[in-house]
Amino acid sequence: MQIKESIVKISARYDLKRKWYRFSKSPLSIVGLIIAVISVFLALAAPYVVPYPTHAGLVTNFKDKFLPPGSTYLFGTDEIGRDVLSRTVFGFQYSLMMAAVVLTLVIPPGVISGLIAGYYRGTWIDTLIMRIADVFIAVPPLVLALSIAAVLTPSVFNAMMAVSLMWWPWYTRLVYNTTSALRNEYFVQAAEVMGASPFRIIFGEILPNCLGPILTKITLDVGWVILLGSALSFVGLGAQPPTPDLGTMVASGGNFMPDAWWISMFPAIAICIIILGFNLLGDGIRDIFVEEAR
Amino acid sequence: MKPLLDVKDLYVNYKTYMGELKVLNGVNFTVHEGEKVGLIGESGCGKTTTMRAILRTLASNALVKGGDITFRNSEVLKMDKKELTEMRRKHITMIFQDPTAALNPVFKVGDLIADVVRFSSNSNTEKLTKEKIRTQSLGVLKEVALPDPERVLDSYPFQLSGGMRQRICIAMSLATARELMIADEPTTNLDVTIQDQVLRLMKDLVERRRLSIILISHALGTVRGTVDKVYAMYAGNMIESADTEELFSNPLHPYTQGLLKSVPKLTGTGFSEGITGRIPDYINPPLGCRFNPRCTHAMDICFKEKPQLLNVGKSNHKVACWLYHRR
Amino acid sequence: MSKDEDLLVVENLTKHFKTSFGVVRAVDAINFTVKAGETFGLVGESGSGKSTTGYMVMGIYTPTSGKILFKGYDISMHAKKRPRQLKKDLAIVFQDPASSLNSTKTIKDIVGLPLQVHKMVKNREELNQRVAELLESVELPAKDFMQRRPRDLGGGERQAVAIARAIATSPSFIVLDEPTSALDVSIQAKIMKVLMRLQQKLDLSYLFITHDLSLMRNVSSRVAIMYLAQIVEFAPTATFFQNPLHPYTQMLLSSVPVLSTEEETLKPKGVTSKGEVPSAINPPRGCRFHTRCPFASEICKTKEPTFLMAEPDHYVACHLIKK
Repeated sequence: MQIKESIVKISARYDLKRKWYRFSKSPLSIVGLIIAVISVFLALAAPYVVPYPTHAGLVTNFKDKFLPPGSTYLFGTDEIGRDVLSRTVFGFQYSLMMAAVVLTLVIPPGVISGLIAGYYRGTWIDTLIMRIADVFIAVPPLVLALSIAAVLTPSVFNAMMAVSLMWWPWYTRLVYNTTSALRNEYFVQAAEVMGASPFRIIFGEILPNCLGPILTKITLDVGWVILLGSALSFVGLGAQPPTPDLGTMVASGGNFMPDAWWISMFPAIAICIIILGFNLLGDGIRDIFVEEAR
Repeated sequence: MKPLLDVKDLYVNYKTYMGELKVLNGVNFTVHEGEKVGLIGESGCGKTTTMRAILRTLASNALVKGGDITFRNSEVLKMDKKELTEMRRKHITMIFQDPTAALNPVFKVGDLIADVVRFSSNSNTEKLTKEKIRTQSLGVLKEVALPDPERVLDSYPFQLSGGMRQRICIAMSLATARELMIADEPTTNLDVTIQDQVLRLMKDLVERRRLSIILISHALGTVRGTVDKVYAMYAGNMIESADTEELFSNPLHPYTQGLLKSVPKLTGTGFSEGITGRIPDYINPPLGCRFNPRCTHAMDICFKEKPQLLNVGKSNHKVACWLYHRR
Repeated sequence: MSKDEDLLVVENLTKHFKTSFGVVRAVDAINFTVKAGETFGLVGESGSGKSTTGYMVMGIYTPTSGKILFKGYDISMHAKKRPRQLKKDLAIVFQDPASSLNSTKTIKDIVGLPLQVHKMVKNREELNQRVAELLESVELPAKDFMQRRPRDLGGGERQAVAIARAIATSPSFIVLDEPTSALDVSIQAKIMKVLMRLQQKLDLSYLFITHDLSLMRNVSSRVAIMYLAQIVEFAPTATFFQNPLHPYTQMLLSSVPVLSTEEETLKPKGVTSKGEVPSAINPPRGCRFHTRCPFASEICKTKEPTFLMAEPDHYVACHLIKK
């Protein structure tokens, strides 16, 4: 009884019932949600659900190399005899981890700088922050990431740093636009006139109104960050062998196309599915917030 | 004489996350040729929904649950796309509350009116040249007393004031309307002196062209100066209808009475404290007469059966209230 | 402050906005006072400068020149430079109920904000209790409304919440910027009742900004009419409606939609509205109303009329009116 009551309370506090209704109107959003949930589950539970967990690491199994998809190895084996299925699932883990780390690094500075620039719009603070953001946005993402990753030693960590560095200003811009629009709304004026401090206004009044666009962008970004990370790995600047990163797998498997097609194909399909899933989820989340302004 | 527009027992619901909103609860509404009808009612009573149902531009989550709408002897609810387009182009026109939103900001006024002029003509019989269109457009602007029509044709909507924009919307609707004009709160967003000018203009044009007009407003005074007959609406029902002066000097339905008492009088005699209660929850509306939770005269039957809109005695004054139609 | 003393004094208040089209003269050297405990009506149409005046009193805009004195103190500066105590003493209710409340917050948070900003409550229980009291005082049943969000409320209820928020800090002066313009007439009546009752109970003074003359007739004690950044007429309400002197006032009154023939007879005849409000960037020379005035003469086109007393307490700025 108490649990049910508290669920109802939380649901009311965050208006979950109404949000779920809007979200679930589109079946594709539900599909996206399912894919996203499964991806996260696989990422977290990888060591426990795959048939050959050791194949994700330093292991050789030359007697079983280049086996096509069959009953023992559902997705076949690669040039070292490692199970492609297990490695693909572990690939989920690396991809989602990269997305999680990059977004965690990028969102706080991006959002905060956007809020401050938007609140102080028209002053030197605005100019300073937004021109710095403009510099980072101006460089094409892949080029910037490649240059940084090339200068530093190739590794997953450095790839994440490179992607983070060029990603934050997009959040700044998004939040800046929302904040500028809200800046002159009556409820913000009311808060200022009653004596609320800028801190309270920015984080207490304006930020909650930005959550919609931010949340939408986060879910869509998961796909893009994974794609960018895979691209870096594909050219050898991200995860190094034997790490089962999806991009690396597609790259190394490319050497054996088209005969042993399964080595590249399954990791590539996995990348597509993850990105598709998070994109659909992002559309669904956008639907929730689109009608908020009534 | 058969009416131009006849809405009979219209029921419309909206689907929402909390359930179905049973907004229109059997609306009965008639407009004759050349008649000027006012529709008063507060926000949420269903005025706009009724108009949208007539034009069949209801939102995607709306469901027509029952009733008939007859326009010029055709069943509107059964019309196919071709008939609907013809009706909207040539026979009925609508003016909205916000003229800024109704005019496409990226086109000049001249282009907007030209579009309307072109669509309103019978393109098989007359080939309209640019010259002809411009002359017609100028003529239409002159009719709505817009100063300097040449300059207006070459301007964008944002360069003009609110009053001028609304006049352009009226002009555009007059370029097409042959029988019926629906004006949904056309002057609510305008200043009171401009409001007065626009209303006088509309009345004059409607009389000259012999159009029927449905003027919707929640500002009772604006309706009074312009129309001959008034319908009062509450919570999805027409609850009273009468000739204008009759309704305002002798309101019968308790809601209409409450409404009129709430209006501040220029004489300084004050105004009432409103009507207790709020509009009903459309998901679970009250049974019987929907006004019963707020009505000081509610009787047993009011909670059980919905009263019909019927004449009181021999007059033209109709009311939907058990106080006047004893069983 | 005892009744009838001047609570708010506005002297030569001016506000000009620099825009890319030119300097917009929103308010030009206006003068008026609001006495303690009264409702002062500021009437005008769009472009008259009435809202801008209200915003300057609140400190949302800084005056370009002129002075605003409140309880004797000079308050002609932006809100962020004003002392804390002053911010508690003045409050505002805005015109649009939809955007004056933060749609992501609950009613409890919205009404509780001023209490938290000024640390007027010690803990969560006290906050809840105080918010409940405030909601009850604007006739909203607290239990139902505390946890709701603005989008679940109708226009009238939202305005009631805005009023509850305004009185939270126990102010002595409230600027009401067209508080009922967006509301249906029966709801307007309810909100007006709440405002009048609160004025009695809490000893409030109101600067009531509106364009609705019928409403003004019934609630304010003195009225000032603004046209294109200036006050053109100013009088106690009864005098004003019995004897409107300025042609613009007459035009305004004759345009008011009324419901009874009795009221029709009160409307001035012979001045029907024509023309539109000229641009505030380039106002007409001389008397600003001359472009629309049916009685305009040569002097009206060249010389600005001075604000003179035509009869006791009744001031007008018009060349046609002699003392």
